Amino acid sequence: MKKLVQILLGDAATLAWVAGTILLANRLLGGPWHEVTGLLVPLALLLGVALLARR
Amino acid sequence: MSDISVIVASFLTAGVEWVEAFTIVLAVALAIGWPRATAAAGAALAVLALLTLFGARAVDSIADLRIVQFVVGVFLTLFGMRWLAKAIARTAGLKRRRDEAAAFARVSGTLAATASHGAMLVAFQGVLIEGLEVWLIVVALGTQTGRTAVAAGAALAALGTVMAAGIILRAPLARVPETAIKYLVGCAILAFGTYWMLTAMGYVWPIGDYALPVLMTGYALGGLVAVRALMRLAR
Repeated sequence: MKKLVQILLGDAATLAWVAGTILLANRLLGGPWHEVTGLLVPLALLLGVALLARR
Repeated sequence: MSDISVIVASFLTAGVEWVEAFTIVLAVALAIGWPRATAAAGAALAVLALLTLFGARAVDSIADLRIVQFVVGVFLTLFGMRWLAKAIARTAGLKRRRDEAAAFARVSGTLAATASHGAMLVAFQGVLIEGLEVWLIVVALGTQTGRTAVAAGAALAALGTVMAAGIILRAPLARVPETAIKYLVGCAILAFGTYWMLTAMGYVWPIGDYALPVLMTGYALGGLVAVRALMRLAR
């Protein structure tokens, strides 16, 4: 069960990064329909991937 | 999303997991024989088949598919980020490349002192855990595209291919470039996750479905930049 949860959610850092990215898209950019969302969200996720790789 | 896209995504993702699972089964088979190792792996596959059937039906019955799309998108994003990060770390030399031969030797050594029931459990768990990741992809792709059978078929085809390759090679599949596959699959999964997550939140992609290949390419190129930057930092 613990392994299943781990597979689904991953570690806390990845989860926090994705949650932060969703907030960025939904609140800080003024809604997910903002025209730069499609560019900024992938960039934020890519930055998270690079930080994860560096750990 | 076309049948071909579903087949390619499911086949590649499942293939990587099956290679890892097969390494464990192979080690167990050499310790306690193929019939019992195969039986344990078969039992795990049966559990996975049931999960695929009921998992997909449970998700289908949820009224608002946007919620499912969002949840699946988040899962795929989490999954894709970890895969891509691992592949980048390995390519940049920050993490040791996965050595299937070493993994095989480790499992073989442990099994020498283990009773056959324990060994069967190792094979069962190995196939179940790796297969759960395949199951996630099959349910996700199947629900989003309405092509569960196609996704499951491609995952089974990947299983058949890995088994056939493993039997022919009779070796722990050390030659399969796992990191390269993981890199590309990580980009693809992350692209699907991003696309579904934002679409479910109401974002309308300016270029429609073409956003998917653009996202995949963007992640692949961005990942290469990250590899170079991390290699420079590691020096």
